[in-house]
Amino acid sequence: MEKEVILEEYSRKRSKAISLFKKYGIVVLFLAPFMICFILFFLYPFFYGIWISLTNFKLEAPGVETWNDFRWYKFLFDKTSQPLLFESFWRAVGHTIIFSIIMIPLAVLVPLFLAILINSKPVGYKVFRCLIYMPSIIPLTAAGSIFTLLFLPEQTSGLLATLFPNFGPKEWFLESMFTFNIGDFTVDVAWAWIPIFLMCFWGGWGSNFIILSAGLQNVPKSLYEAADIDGCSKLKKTLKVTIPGIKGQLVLCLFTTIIGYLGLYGQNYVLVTGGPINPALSSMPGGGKTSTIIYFIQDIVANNTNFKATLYGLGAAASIVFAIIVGIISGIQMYCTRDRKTGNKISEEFKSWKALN
Amino acid sequence: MKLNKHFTVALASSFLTISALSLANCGGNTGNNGTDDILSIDTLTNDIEYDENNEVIFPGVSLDVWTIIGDPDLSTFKGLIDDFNMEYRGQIHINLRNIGHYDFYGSLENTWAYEPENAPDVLIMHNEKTAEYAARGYMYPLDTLMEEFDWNKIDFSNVYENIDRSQFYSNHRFGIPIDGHGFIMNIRQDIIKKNGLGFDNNTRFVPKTREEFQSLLEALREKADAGTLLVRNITRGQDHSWKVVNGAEFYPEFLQSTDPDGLGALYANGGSMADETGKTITFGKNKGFQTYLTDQVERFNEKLMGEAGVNTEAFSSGKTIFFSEGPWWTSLNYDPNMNNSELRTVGNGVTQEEVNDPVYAYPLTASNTAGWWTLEENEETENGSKWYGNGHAISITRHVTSATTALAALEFANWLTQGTNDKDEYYLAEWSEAGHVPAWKNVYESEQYQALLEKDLTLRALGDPANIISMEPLQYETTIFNALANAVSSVQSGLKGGSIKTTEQALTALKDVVNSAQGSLDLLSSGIL
Repeated sequence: MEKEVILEEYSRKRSKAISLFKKYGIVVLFLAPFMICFILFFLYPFFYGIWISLTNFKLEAPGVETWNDFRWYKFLFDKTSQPLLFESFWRAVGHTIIFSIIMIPLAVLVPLFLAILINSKPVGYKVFRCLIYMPSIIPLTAAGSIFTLLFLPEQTSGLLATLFPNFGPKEWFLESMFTFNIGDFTVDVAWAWIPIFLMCFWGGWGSNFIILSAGLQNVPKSLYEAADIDGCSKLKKTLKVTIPGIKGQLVLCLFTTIIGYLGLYGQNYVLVTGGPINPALSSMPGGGKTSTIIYFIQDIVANNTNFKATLYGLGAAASIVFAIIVGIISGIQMYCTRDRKTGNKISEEFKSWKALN
Repeated sequence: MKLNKHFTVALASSFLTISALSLANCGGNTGNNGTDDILSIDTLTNDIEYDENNEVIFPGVSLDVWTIIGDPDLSTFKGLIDDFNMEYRGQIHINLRNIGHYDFYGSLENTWAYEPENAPDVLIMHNEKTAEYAARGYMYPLDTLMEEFDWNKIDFSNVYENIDRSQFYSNHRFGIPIDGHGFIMNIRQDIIKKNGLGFDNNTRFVPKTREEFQSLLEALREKADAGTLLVRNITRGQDHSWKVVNGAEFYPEFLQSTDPDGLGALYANGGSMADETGKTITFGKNKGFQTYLTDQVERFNEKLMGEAGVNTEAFSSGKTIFFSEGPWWTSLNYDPNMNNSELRTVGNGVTQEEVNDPVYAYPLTASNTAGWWTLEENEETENGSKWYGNGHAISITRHVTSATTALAALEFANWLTQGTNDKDEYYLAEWSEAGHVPAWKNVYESEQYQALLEKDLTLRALGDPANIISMEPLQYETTIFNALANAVSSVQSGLKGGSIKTTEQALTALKDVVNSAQGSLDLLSSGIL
């Protein structure tokens, strides 16, 4: 009898374990590879970064930090504590945001336009599709070499200067396009932004183009047929059928493009290493005329060994601020592009249309 | 499948546990912060054993040596290390690892912080970095170490003081100098002679003072503009006959490399990078350095100086006369492309007279720039005839915890700097052949080195190490040095880009850079809590 009870209990426990494993084990098994990487390479660095930004972390002595009373954040937000650093950081933020505002619409709309054109399947569209995507497979450093060669001055055999000697400035990577004042700040807009912009634009349109092209393939043909029956023009079909039909892909492109250009670093590094030099901020992290937020952070954690040893926490604080800025902008974008429920709007419109007829 | 509450809690707890454990265990090297820590040698265990002759026994000590020395010098250095390992077989063995200039310091810092067990025992790096890493607690104070373990094989009075000065921090020695080197000016002596512009009745083609240099630049410009300057192309396979240069394409010199000459101008005129604390920038106030920058503006405006950075082609074709580069340039570019037998054979534009004249047969001469940036009022001062050069130095890191290992490292340093082979030839002189001057008086004055000088243009150009002045020790060397380089490159890029046209604008740029650098130093000081 006793044995039977034990067996019964064993059987119950075993079946419970099996059922638990079936219920959660598979989930854990599938989630584990992602979760391990996510924890190790995202969550852990993220929380560690927050920790570093709040302490007197030193590269030579990690693990013996002390709380620093938000000192690094005060440096970034209080103009009086470190005026040059404050200016350098907010200039870098300004560069990043202004560049993104100009770049992002073009980086989405031009590929969209190209994708729509290609989707109309003109003669040789496969070749065009290939050519449009091709810049995306060129590594950043190679693209950097191409654009450097293009924009070098004439005496160092710059292609543009040789072909069009009177076009643009003599030194694309050194000269200022124009300056203007915002309060105490003199904003010096360098010509170097043009090669950076073109390199970003040229190198970046392919990925958005391919996503949007794929989306266009999936817009139901029946919708176009219905639009034809309703007598829609081509433009109206594009605006009312095509674009709503690829809204998911557009939102994805917008999201990744915003995040990508807010994190601009590679292009201005390979072309001008954050320069031209701004003498007044030349020794500050991110003090160059084309420095961005990531450049500011990189100057601290990698480009200057003194900064790296002493100001790592400042780099971490700037990263956290950057993450918050990206989060807010992405949040606004997600909110603006969210799916809206139509309620009874469509049926009411149908009723009013029917009443008219 | 919806996860229940227990599962979520378990997952979150696991994550937090991992994070907490990781944060708690992320400590690498505990580092050193205060001056007492930097000067301490308490981490060394006295495990030294002596033989019957009172010599230290090295029981197969293995030393991990990291060096910044790269090609083309690395092969010579590796040969020396092989010799050392052979000579000390069974006692000391060097495991050499070379890391390129751009990766060396980053690799060192990351290894030191996160893989302390793999940190090197010995560093061979550029001498201006010693103070910076000493201040960060990477190295042992060698004088304390030698005194503590009664090791006195090296006579430091043999080291040139101006090179040695970079090895001290907090009044303690943290490194042992090996050599000195710097940028040298390559000069087309054949063109100067042909046009009768040499000094001392056209027999000396290297300027000695700022005034001589300036007058030569002006004379070259004048002749080029007048259409009377004769030049020739010395590139292998080209026509070597003399032709009048096109004045529009000719520049007596090109913009100097950014920092070494600026440092030369600073030190030759009694300046310093920073004050004694190392926390206040002083280079901006030095008249010699200011004049170095304003000279560039004036020379640029008067077309005495061209703007292109790549000058090899202009130099070989005779479109420029002065060209500043590292000592490696001669063997890498001049010898294979320009130093050719065609210049020593009649024909192809070369006359018998030119073949017989070494100035034409060997058209390159080179020189250090001692005196070239010195203001007239400073010519008679102690540093007036000196020029800036850096060099290599050896340090022992705190990765070493055994006194025997530390002494093995000193033994190696002594062997490299003062050791001789069975022919009584200095190993350091052998190393010097790779394009460095010894930082040691007895090696420089040796017959062996003097014989090398006779046959080696680069060593002659580097000249007497007594005239080389290295950087003063600076805790924040990277930031201060970058600031000086920024000052020079701000002016140079301003000249190229057109934003700087006057000397006043150059001085304003200098002032801005100095303010920024001072802000940066203040920031670093405020970062230390």
